[in-house]
Amino acid sequence: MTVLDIAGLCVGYRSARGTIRALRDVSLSIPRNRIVGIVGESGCGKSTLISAILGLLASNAQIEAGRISFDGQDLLTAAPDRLRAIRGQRIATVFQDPMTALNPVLTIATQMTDIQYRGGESAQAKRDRAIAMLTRVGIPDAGARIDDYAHHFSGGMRQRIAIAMALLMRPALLIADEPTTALDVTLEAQIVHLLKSLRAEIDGSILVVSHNLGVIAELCDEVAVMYAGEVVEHAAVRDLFHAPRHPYTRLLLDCDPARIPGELATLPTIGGTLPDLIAPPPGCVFAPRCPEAEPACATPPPFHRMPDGHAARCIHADA
Amino acid sequence: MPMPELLGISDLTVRYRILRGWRALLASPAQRHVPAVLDASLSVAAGETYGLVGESGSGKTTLARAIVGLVPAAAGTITLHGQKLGRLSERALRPVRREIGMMFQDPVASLSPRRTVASQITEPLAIHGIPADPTAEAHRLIAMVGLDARFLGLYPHQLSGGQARRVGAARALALNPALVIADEPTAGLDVSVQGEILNLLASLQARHGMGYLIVTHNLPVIRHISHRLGIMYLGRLVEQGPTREVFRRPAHPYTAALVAAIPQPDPDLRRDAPPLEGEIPSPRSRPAGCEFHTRCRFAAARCRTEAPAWTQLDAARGVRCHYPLSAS
Amino acid sequence: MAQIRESSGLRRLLADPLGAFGLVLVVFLVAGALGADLLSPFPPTKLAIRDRLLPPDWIHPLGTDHLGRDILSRVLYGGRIALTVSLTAVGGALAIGTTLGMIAGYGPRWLDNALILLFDAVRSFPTILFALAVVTLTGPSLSTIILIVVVTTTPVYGRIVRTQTLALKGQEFILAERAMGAGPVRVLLLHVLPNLIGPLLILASMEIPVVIAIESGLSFLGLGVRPPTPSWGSILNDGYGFIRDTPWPVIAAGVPIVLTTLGFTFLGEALRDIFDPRLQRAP
Repeated sequence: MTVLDIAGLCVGYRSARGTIRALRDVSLSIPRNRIVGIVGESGCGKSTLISAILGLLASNAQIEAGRISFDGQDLLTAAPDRLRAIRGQRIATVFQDPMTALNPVLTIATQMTDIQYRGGESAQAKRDRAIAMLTRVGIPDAGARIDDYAHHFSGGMRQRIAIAMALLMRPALLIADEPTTALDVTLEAQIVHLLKSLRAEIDGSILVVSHNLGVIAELCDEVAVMYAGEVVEHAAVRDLFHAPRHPYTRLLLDCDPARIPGELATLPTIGGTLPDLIAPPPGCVFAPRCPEAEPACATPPPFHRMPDGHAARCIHADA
Repeated sequence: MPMPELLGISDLTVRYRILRGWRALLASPAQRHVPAVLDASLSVAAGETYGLVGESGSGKTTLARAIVGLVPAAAGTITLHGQKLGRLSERALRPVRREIGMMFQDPVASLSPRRTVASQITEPLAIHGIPADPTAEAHRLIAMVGLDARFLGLYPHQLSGGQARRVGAARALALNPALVIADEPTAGLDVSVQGEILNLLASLQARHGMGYLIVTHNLPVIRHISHRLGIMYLGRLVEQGPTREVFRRPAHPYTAALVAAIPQPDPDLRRDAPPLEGEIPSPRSRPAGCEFHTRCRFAAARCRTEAPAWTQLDAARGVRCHYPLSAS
Repeated sequence: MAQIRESSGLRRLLADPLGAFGLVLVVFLVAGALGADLLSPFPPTKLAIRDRLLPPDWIHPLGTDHLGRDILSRVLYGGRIALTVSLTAVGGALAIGTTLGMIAGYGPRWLDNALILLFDAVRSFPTILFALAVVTLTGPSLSTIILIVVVTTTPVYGRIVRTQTLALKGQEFILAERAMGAGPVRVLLLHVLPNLIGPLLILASMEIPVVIAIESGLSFLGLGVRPPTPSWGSILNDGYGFIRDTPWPVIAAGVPIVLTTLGFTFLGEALRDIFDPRLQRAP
């Protein structure tokens, strides 16, 4: 059973110099009750992908091809009121900055009862549910603190509240876009643990987007790696971290200082820079920086899919 | 072979005024100020990289700013090459400033928006009236940080984060300072390019022998690039020692929690529980006794009432704890 | 790599129709004022009583006033007065206000408090009363008008600059300058001023028509320039008395005032639109 199915998505941004091909033939499906991670660095297109799912693309964006199916609906062509019904109710999001979700001039209680407007329950019932959810996410003394404003809470607490608000409507899909990037490491560990512990109660799937490999390893069942607008690898989490099949994934793992044992004097990097997305390379998008590139890489490599589901966009993938 | 001490900080306290005017007159001294750094002592030797580690609210950035005189010190001493900095006037401080270069956390925001890269990396020369050819110096410095000369004519908003950091490094190094303070040198950088700026700093240190004070909350990175570490919590240094030792056998429970909290990029190393619950207390309502006791798994009765003093575990390691974790 | 295409400000200005229109009007005014010597068919103060109150014809394109003086010439020289007064007054207020504002924003608190007090005190004094008082004391003249304008508008610039300076003071690049040992003068001149000046110039350009209107008003009331110096306001004043004989002096003086106001306002707004989004735009 698939909750969200992205097929062949191509998104471009119109700019003065030309169209920036931000997403090229991106396909990803999120099965029910699974935690799927998207990992990638700046410019990989993960923000564009999330915006496309949520219908929040910028005005200069154009969807050139593809489909995003949710609940049998194509989100890209759905009518605005259908989209609004889905967004917030069936798909909920937690962002990097919790203040994106929290209104600074309303109390938390007001906000958390407002978003339950479709439930048809009494005001007291809504408040009780909100307090229960806040307690569940670890807000101490939730019964009293629910009447506070967002600025009365610290950054870590605000992120917990944002998660509580996202889960209040029992979404089928929770999207967490860099949920811990703005937090210190001890708070990050708490939020990661919270998401893991909520998993049993979320009768749905979670899509985690992060550039932090450690967070992805902690949380996800399967992982997609994006580079310069494409999905270059997709695998179960252990397969990705222990037996990566795409050179970019391997290099990325090598560069993570948390993975390097001992203390090194010189840290590894991936040389070169991102290709210009207005004119991406004709073949493999990573070839200009790839140590294993060969002449055959000048033609677009197929997305090799192995029998165990591990897939990589590289001609060496099945080696 | 011990290198000469470059930077020495002793019992440094930095406070922020939170009450002004008539309210300040009516309040007690404790209410008028909130301490950001308390009784901090550390030293950095020439050719050494010292990592000052802490989370938000630890006071590490304030400490760095106090060294360059951006915030006044309420107590304690700061010495550079043995010369005391603390109570110097702005005028007397100027020659000292030539010896310290600072790289700021937000690389683009720390560059003046309407001035070219060239004018900014030679700014220290202009400020101190160094009679050198600015164009030649600009070319030398931009090449030193591995950027092409065409960057000299660009403006800060035209630079990427990584490029702006290199420009910041060039500016910090323009006068060949003895000490460079870098505030979060890898914040906002992708993992695949972090190494570029760090390797650059390391190679420059190998060539010129300056000392680095790196302020960061990024533990995996600091582990690789620092010789010694100092861990800060709520304004105090709670542990100090050689990086390798501190990571492998932390003595303070907070250090142990920090190290354990690093998310490991390996699904087989998943944790069951977060190493540290709760949040850092507000600096205005500091816990009594040992300030970490509210979150410490090993807190005992003594920790709640009596503040621990700094103990030297051996020549290189020190900790501020009544019951340091066994170092065996 | 971040890259912004820097299209020329001038090109963008011309692309905005109102901005282009404003620019044309302003250029027109400036050209007329500068070229008054060449363009005026007659000296503006030459009397010719026999030719008084003539309607426009080939010799006098805008007719003559009640003393036979050529209106076109008087209007052109009046433009010169208008420009001189407004540019000097606004320029002076801008210079003094900016300097005081930067000192207030960057300097010690006590100085800031003192300057704020000064600004507020001056601003709270009613402009018209102040103007009348000064004119009564020193008699009407160009310098009097300039003085009045400078005194009453300096606090406005001062306050704005102070606020901007305070905001900039905490920014990281200013901290970086201080960490490098830059003194306050260097910081203010090289790093604070260039970042304030854009919006400030736009504000100033929109003040110019206001000052011209003030000057015209005072001259109309007889409190401005002394006769026979031509000022749009005084031409209006003179023409008003003879409006039943010929409307031309009133039209000839009134239209430039309106056009100048429109021109500077459109230009200023277009400039503001160009500057603001670019200041916001960070990669």
